[in-house]
Amino acid sequence: MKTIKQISIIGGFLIATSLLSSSLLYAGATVSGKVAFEGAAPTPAPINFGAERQCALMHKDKMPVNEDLIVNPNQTVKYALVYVKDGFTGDVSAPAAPVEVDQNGCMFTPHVAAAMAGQKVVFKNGDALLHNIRTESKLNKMFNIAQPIQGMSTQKVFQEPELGIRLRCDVHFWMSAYLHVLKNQFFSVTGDDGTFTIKDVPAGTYTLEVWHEKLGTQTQTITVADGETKTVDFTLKKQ
Amino acid sequence: MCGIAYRNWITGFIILILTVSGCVGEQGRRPPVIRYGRDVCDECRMIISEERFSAASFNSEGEAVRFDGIGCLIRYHVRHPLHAEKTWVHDYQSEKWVQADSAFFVSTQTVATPMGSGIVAFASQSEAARFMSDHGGTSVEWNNLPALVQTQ
Repeated sequence: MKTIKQISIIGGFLIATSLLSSSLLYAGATVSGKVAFEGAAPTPAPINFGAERQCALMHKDKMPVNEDLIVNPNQTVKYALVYVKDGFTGDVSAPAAPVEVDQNGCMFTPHVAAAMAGQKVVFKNGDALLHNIRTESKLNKMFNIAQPIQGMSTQKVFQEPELGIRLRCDVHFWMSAYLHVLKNQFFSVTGDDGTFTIKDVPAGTYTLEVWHEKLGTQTQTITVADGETKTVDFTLKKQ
Repeated sequence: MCGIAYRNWITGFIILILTVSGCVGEQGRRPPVIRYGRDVCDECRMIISEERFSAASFNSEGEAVRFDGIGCLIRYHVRHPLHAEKTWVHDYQSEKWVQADSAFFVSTQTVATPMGSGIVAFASQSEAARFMSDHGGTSVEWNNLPALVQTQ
């Protein structure tokens, strides 16, 4: 009994040590930063629901706004994609977990989603209304699927890397969102604080790009070492 | 001089008539062009986006009608009967046009068609059978599609 206990302790110690040492051997870099906005922050226009009373009634407390350019209170940009554009040549496989795009209150949530090529994207209808999901893609197959029932979901896989695939609902003309399909896992979309974080970037030199539907693109070249935390900031302004 | 001009005029007119006739005849033999991402379905008004589900025909007035899926084609056909020999669907696998009267239809729950009819078409019975073996579904004849769609 004593021998088995000893063997178990030693075995557990060896496993833990190997796991720890392997994580130390491959501790990729973390690239983080913010996307700032230069200039006076625009006031986004409230959504005009037109004759769609059912949509308007879902927003009794706070009317949603046009999300094509959201500048956060801290003068940063929401919904900007930051990604490693060039420099990574390793093999990657898409995560098993899907990316989700929902329709709530007659708005796409999130306004910008990002997935890897080959990763599942699940489009859901969270409203008790008819929506349709139509993609305006150039490199991936377009599709247009009606979702008449609340809770319906449609799963798609985009095989080709492609930025800025526009999503539309033709029943509700104001509904618009973007889906980015990336070739690797090194990407991040800014949120309410305008920051991004990209983890586990292998040591090397890369082109980092920011993409925004209204503010355009900007690139920076970065070099990172294993285990390094690198801060990279972008500043965008109206074109 | 006048005689030559008159002959040229008659010749040109005959050529014009033959050309127009050819176009009309061609219209009945080839499916209408669909501009994907732009044309709207003549039944549900959704923008036609996916070639493999789309269908087209010429109605009784000779007008081209276009559909985002076979379900919409059939719903239209119920109200405005279409001739199968002037109706085309796409083979789900090859995405090539197939005349409706020679296509093999499968009703399945495993394919998300634009308006949810779950009806796909194949150019050959063997391809339809292979699809059903891999994905499930039942074969449906063209003449039975209206009854199926009306139960959906």
